[in-house]
Amino acid sequence: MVPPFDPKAYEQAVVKPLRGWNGRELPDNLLARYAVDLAMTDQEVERRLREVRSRWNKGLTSPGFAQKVYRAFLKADEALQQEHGGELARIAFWRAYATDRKDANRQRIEDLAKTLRQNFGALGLIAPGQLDATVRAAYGALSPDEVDEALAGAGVSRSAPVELPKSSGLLDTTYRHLRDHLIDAGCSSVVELLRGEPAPFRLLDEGAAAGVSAVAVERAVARENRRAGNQGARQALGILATAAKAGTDLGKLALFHLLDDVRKQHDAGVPASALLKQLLATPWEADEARLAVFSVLNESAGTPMGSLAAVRELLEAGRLVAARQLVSSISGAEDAAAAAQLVERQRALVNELVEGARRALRDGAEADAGHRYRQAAALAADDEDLRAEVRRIPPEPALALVAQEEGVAVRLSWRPAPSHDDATRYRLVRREGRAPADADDGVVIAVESGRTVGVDPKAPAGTKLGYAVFASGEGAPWSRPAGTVVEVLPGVADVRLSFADGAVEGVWSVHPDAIAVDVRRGDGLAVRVHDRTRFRDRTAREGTEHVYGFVARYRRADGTEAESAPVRARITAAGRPQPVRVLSLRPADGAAVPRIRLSWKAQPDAEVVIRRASEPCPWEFGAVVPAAEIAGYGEEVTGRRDERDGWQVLEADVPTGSYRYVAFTMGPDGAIRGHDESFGIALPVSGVRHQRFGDDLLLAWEWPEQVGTAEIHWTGARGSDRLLLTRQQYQTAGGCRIPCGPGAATVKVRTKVQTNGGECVSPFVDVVVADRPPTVGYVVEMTRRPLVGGGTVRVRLDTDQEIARCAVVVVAAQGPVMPRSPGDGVELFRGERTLRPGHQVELAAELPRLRKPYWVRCFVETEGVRVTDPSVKQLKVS
Amino acid sequence: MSKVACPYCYHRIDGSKLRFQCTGRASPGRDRCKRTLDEVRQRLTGYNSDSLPTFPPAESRNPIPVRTAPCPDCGTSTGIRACPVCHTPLPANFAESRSPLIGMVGGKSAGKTVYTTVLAHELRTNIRRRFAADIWFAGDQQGGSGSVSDWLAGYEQALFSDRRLFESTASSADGLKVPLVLQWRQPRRSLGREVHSTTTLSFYDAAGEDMTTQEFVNAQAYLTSADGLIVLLDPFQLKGSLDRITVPGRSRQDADPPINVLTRITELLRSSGGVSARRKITTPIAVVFSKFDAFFPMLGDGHPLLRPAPAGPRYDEGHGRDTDEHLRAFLTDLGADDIDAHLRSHYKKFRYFPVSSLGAEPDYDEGRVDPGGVRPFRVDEPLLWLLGLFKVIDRSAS
Repeated sequence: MVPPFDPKAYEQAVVKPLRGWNGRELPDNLLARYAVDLAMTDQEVERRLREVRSRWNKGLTSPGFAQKVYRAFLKADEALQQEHGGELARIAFWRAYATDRKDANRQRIEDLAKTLRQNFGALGLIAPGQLDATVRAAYGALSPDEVDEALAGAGVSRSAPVELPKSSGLLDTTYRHLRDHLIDAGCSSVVELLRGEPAPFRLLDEGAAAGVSAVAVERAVARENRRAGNQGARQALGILATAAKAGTDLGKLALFHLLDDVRKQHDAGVPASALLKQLLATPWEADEARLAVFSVLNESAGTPMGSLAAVRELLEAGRLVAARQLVSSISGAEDAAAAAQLVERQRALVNELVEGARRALRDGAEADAGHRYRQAAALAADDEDLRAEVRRIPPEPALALVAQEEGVAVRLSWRPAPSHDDATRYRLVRREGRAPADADDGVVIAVESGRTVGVDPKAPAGTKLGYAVFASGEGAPWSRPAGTVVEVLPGVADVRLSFADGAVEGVWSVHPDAIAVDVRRGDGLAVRVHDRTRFRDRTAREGTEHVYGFVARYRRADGTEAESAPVRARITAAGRPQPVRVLSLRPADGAAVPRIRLSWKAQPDAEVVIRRASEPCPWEFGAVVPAAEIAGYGEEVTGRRDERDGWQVLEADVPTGSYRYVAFTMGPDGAIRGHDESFGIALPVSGVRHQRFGDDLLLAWEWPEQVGTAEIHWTGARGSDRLLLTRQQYQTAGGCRIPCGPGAATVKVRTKVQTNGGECVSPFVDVVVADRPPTVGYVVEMTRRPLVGGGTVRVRLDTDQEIARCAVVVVAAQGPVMPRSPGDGVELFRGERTLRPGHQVELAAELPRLRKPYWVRCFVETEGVRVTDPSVKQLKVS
Repeated sequence: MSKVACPYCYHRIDGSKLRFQCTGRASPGRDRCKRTLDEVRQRLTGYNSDSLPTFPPAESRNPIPVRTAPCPDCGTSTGIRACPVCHTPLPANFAESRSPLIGMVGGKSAGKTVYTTVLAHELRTNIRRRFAADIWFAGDQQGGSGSVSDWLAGYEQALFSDRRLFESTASSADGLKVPLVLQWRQPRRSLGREVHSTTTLSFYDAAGEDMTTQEFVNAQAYLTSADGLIVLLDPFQLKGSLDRITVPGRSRQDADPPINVLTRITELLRSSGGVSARRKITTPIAVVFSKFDAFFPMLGDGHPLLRPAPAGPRYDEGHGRDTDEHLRAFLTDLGADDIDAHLRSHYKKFRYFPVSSLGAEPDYDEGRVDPGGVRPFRVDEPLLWLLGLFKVIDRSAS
């Protein structure tokens, strides 16, 4: 059964392959052209010819090349009908034709196969475009099936070239070092280096390339570490490890390395077979190596011709390097010159930005350098060297490193620079004698992300210590140091005094470098110390309060002794510990994290512990609870303790939300439950900034998550006030606008959150708004003489602050634009006046004849004084 | 009745000859009308969904326009009015209200979409309160996904809540795009009585790319029908900006000088309006310099351009004129006085406005609004100036 005629399939199989037909000769496969099957009967042939001719006629209305093909088919059909007449409709004619054609075409097929073998046999690959062009050039009579037959005979297959990496992803110098180290290591490829042996590999399919990864580098490093020698391999692996960390695609790097020489040799005219041979020796899988060489050959063949528009497009897309390469391929001289000019302009801009960035880096302005580099990178995004340079910009250094003794350790805190974010890492480094100069110059204490405090628990005492903090971003080098030098002389810590068996006993901890601890009682008695950490004072009188002072002594490197600051502790001998009756809590101001300040009346003879819990305290006030039991109630609040005016003060970082804080006085029989207080704290706002608009101040800040209300207090020229603002109101009003008036102002912002446990407030964040410079206001009155022109100008000046010898210039100028400086017009008055608030000073001058529109404007030339213009109505005459 | 511009197809139409649109409800004994694709509406507005049929009012010698008419197919009485040209349903009382069409144009990357979004937000919040007006987006004619309210809500969510910038507005095929139509209803005293007047405003946010060639400008039919224009110009492209402020890298790439944008618009208005060479164009034009926050540090705290406008339900003419003159001086300072020369030569009414939709420079690389949120700066003034000219709102004496 012969299948029915399918116009779509016919067009696909017969017409479409003729796209780009040169019009000289049609393929002579009439069986395909007429869609005749040799199994047809005469009637079927006749019907098929009818159907095909109908299709051709319809095709005359088709757009594009198909119309030409159908017209040519119809013309050829006319000639065939004249030659063969009714024979065309008989199957016998077609069978005889098929036999004759088979013999005639055999020669053409063999000829095409020979051509393909000679030109493409070395790699056995041909691009579809190349094949089409070859067939169109000399074998247009062959049908697609016959072309396939010739391909098979030549042992060549169709294949599309693949996109190969044009750069290594490394800096040129780094790449050259890698190549040299690979030669030293005796490895022909990155893959061999990673595997440690020359085994066959694949790189072009993504799954296989994934084997060339950071993990493979780590494995190779571990392998090389187990071996001795082979410095070349170690150094090459070091480069790969760094590249992997910087996000370089190692698969592409490996490919680039393999093809780097192939490209150069191809440019030098080395034949494809020789190129393939060296790749097969690596030993790359043969099919991939062939495809790689084939793709390299097609790179040069496929270089696109440039145009001015393409160059402009590339420049707009920030692809300066690609645009520069394309300029050379523009054929028109004028277009080429214009394109070169455009490229040169953008290149100059990039160079200017890069130079500026480098200058800024040299001047220590990393933020400015980063900004300029980013601008340059946006204009030349495909410049690998520039991108690598951008990656090498260190972040700004951290600010204000402070080192303080905390117990026997040193607590270090710093502020992040404005450009730092949560991902910024900080490395704390310590060095004796001076502050570390770089991130490896000393002992690394900690590397933290997003934290701005660190503790050095092993700081040597009695010597000058330099600390520095270095910042680094993703893949960036360490910043300049923010350093400080301190002499660490820790006092004693964790002092506990107790009265038992008629004696006061004291225990504490001290820095291991301390050579001795001196203890002196308040009445001047020196107390004997055992093992630097305890004493027993049998002379203490019962029922009396005693104060003990502790001083740790250290030996400096020069042999002299140094003493710590004294630490004092007090005890009432035999006094019974009392429960804490008053516990006050409030947010600690100025903290960037939730921090509270707790205070209670100090008891000289007892230790007070504060515990925080979300549930109510199960014990009554005054109850004595075994020490083991209170450990099950919430958690202890720890932080920095201090004693002021008889009050113990504890500043502690706490989680946000509302909690119950309970004081326990530690006694010999257990903990005495004291006063409890519920208190909630919220996250403070951050990044508060302000902008003056007239007498109003627009405040903006970043709201913490889950916070919906802020309270703003301010004190300014118009007194003090407060405002409660919701997040939605802030959003609607476009920030927080407060009428603080002119002059300096102090603004405090804190957040409020309602929770089940009550209201939580954050610490205040303070903003100080600087005072405005003295401002001179003025009023202009003009008395004009009609017809004659000219007249008199009176300018009355006033000020908000006293200004002695204020230099004033009154200027008149013609034209539609107001004078912007005294030089823009004719000076009517110039002189110095002393101005006082509430006291107007009048200036009068002759107004010359001027053509309308004209202006009279006042300028003040005294440094630091600003002038405020009145309404334009007073200034302009039109 | 005077001719007004349809807010959807921008053709001038006779308010007394509006079509009616069927309600789609069935009447006793007859089938309800079905929604079908209206090819005229599709061609003129790009509306691709099915819609209910429209029909002209019956011929009548009665000079008083009818308010309702029965559908000739289903017999149901309807009062929904539609444009006689594009068949798009019009806001209720459109025929009786003033309907100035305000075009929003500008160069590429001038920030029109951000400005439109922030202005719409301001209209629905602060401006509405200030003028004690009821402002709402009129009949969401395009409906469903991709409707005006949808994209506006999406943009507002992105800007105000997610603090995210959006991509450049795509050019509209054939110059067709859904305009933002809003109605402004405000009480007024007339002859001692309180009456409410409704004004229909139509905004069209054109893609910046549309303004880069004369052909595209010509395709923007709405420009020629606009009663007033808000032209947004990117101040980063002013000649002296590069020397005075830090211009974001992205703005350096998309350089289309503001004078070029203005020249194209002028050409179009002159040719389409048949304005003779000796006369000036009468369409009022608000020339808005966006992203003005970048100049705050340069101007200093007390600069007249940073003074807030006096409060109150009116446009303050004196403050507006001061701003205009100081911006003219600012342009001269930046060596961009060619803009002023061009406007003075071609336009009868124009005014300068400094505006910042976001109030602070966003992070262009990350596409993020400043962490402190959106802080609009004087975004309402261009519109209020135009509304004052159209007598929709009061103007204080200069």
